[in-house]
Amino acid sequence: MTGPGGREMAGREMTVAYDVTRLVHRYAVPSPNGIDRIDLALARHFLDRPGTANVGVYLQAVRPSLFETRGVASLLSEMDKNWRDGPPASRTDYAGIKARLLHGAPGRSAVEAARRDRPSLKRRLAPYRLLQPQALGRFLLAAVPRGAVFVHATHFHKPHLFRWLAQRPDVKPVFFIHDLLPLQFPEYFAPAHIAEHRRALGIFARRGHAAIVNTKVVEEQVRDFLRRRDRHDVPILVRPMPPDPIFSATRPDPDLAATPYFVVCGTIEPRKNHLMLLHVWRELSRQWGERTPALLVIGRRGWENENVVDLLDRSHEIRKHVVEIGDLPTADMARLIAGARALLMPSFAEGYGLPIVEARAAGTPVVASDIATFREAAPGATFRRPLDGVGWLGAIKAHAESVERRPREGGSTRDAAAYFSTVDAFIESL
Amino acid sequence: MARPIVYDVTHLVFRMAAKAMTGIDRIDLAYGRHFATVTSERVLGAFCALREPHVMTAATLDQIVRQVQRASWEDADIATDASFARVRNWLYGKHLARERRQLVTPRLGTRNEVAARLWRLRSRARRAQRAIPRDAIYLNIAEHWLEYHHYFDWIGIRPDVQAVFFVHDLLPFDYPEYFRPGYEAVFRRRFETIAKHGTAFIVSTNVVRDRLREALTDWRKADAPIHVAPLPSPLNLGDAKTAAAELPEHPYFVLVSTVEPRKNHLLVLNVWRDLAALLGDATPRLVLVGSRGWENEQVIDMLDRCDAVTKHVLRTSRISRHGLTWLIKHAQALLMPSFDEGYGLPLVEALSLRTPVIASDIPTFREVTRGCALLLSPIDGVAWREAVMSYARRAAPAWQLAKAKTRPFRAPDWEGYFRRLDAFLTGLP
Repeated sequence: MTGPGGREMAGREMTVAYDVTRLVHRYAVPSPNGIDRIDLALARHFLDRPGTANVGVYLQAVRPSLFETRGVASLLSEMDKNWRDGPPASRTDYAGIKARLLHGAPGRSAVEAARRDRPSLKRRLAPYRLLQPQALGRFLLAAVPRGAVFVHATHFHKPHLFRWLAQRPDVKPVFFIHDLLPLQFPEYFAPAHIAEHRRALGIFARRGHAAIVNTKVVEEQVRDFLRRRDRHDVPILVRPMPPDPIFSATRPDPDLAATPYFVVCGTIEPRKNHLMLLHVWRELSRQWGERTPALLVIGRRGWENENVVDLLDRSHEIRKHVVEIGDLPTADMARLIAGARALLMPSFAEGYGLPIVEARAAGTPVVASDIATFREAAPGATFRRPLDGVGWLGAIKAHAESVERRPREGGSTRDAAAYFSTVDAFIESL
Repeated sequence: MARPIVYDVTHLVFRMAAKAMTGIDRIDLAYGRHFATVTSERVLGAFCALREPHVMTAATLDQIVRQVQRASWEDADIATDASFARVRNWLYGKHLARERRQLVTPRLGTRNEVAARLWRLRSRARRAQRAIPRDAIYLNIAEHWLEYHHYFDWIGIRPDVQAVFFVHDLLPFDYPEYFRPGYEAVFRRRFETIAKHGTAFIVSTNVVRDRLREALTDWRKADAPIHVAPLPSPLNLGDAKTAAAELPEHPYFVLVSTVEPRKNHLLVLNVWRDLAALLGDATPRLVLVGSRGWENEQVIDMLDRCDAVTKHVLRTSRISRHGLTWLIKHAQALLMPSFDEGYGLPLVEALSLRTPVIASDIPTFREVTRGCALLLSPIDGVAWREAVMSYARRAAPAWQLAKAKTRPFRAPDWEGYFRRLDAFLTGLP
């Protein structure tokens, strides 16, 4: 029962085929968004452990390919390290942000940095170096192990990539569903994106064997969606994914201790309601003048964000106090969140709210929209309606005037271990 | 002896074939009408040209004004005004198919199109038959072509001429973020023309006057005479033909502004989405009157794709003067949540029709509404929502109070306006 190869015999343990397609595509991006973080955490859990029988799946037409597990594991830890520490140039970026906060010195603009950090073709193709000749055969020929659980966490929208599942009834597909927002709030997405999301959910409704979600709100919506598709038998695991342990381990930057600043994290797109926040900051700068605290806007520019970009780029009053930071390594982000007077998240709607969970792990107060998801994800935060500019102004002033640290909640390595063992148990139970 | 007045018609000629009239167009037309009717030898028209403007007689000016009126939708009969009919059907609960709710742009009509083109050609090609008379007052209302300095260089060599400019606002300096990228530089050039050549100025609020004085200080013109006169409503010409007054099935609110970010439509649409979630079918309606401007992607997304909004909100433009009057008159309230403004014509229009007003709490609006409106912070969505809810029924005491509040408002009238303007012009040194 032991010895080499004994694992399969001993392990009544389920084999997991984890879909790394998106991660491979995202290998070269300078910093991750929320979905990337969740995807990477899951991938590392399943694939980056010695001696595992789990495999990394790369979806392509006709049939999926398999990445060699050892290679993919090192790829994932490399990605984790890249995203955590950033490219060498990001050191000067961090210094620039600090100088900006301390002396109001203008730093490199987010747009310039994004241009500089645009990944080269060589870097984008780097993951495929895993396909050395000896690995290529396995990549192309090996099939997903019998009876494996196929875990897909990234809402792919191309039905032909999932057609192989029809020939493999032994494989149980589990989908991680982040949200159904494009269907609920079409006004916040480009029409093409809405259609893609609808197709992705259609694939899930057709092929899904089980689902994992972060919040009860999303669970309710997924159930509702499945009911309309006549699927009543899909087990759903509801567990908020804990943030990367780096957030609870990081201490604030001592140089910034005396500088009040706030942080808002997230792609710049209309659902995140940056616009309200910027208007509040303009009002604040009129009331407080030079002693207005800074606002760090962390996140890449997304879609339908013309007005926000206009304010960031051209408003005299806002440019004085608001610093747009495009890509930021996770370590720097954790440090900036840890030292912020509060993390702000005024979204109109969300599926989860990773930044507020991260802020809680860092012991930073949170001011968030009064929406069901956030009440669930961050009990104890200060809640304001996303429309209530004056209410936000009041909350921001109150936090600017007092340094408050909260007990760190969630996000320890123990929390992460507990989360993943629940996921494992759920998968085993299928 | 009274000085001759040379009124610049360039803008009128160029807007003759415009699809919809803006506030500035309406003001310019009102001025044009005034000067065209003063059939006096001392009034002339001028059309900007390279060396110096082409001068035209008051009779030609009158023809141009008439053609603008003919071509515009302003005076369309309320019964045949397609845009108005569409809004009215919607308000009276005749459910239109979604496709039909898309705006159909009415055409200008070939005759008017041809006339507009001819006028443009005629005005441009007309040789300078006479020069601007000595000691004339050159009057520029619509700020047309001011960014092209060479059209105005002639003023520099005619020190006898008083150049009077209407300054609507200086917002592009204070809020470049609300204009198209690059417009700040264009506006700087425009302002250079005004500041360099202008000897007297017309504004409509004290707020703009103070801002203008500040800007003129750099040009050592802080002492230049500035005439402050609140503009009367161009709707209010005393001949409003209003149709049936029975109230629509759905109470509604109205917002009259070009769809551009400074006007803060987004706040109102967010409020409406909230209201729809709260009140369902009992949600009051909202009529947006205004053409699509710039930097308005997100507003259009909401109008196109947000279910709660498409159900309860209708956007229209190119509505006749009478149609607009009707809409404002029967609305529960007029909303104007702008972040900043130079004046606020819709407020004047609403208050003179005794329609309650909910507007931003900004200095300009405080000045314009003179205590007759409810003013709220443009970022306070919650307060706006409460206000809309409390104004949604005519029986509600809040609405009755708001209605009573409009009564003391004394609307400026055109006759008095131009009397004071003439006095100002006559009094120029």
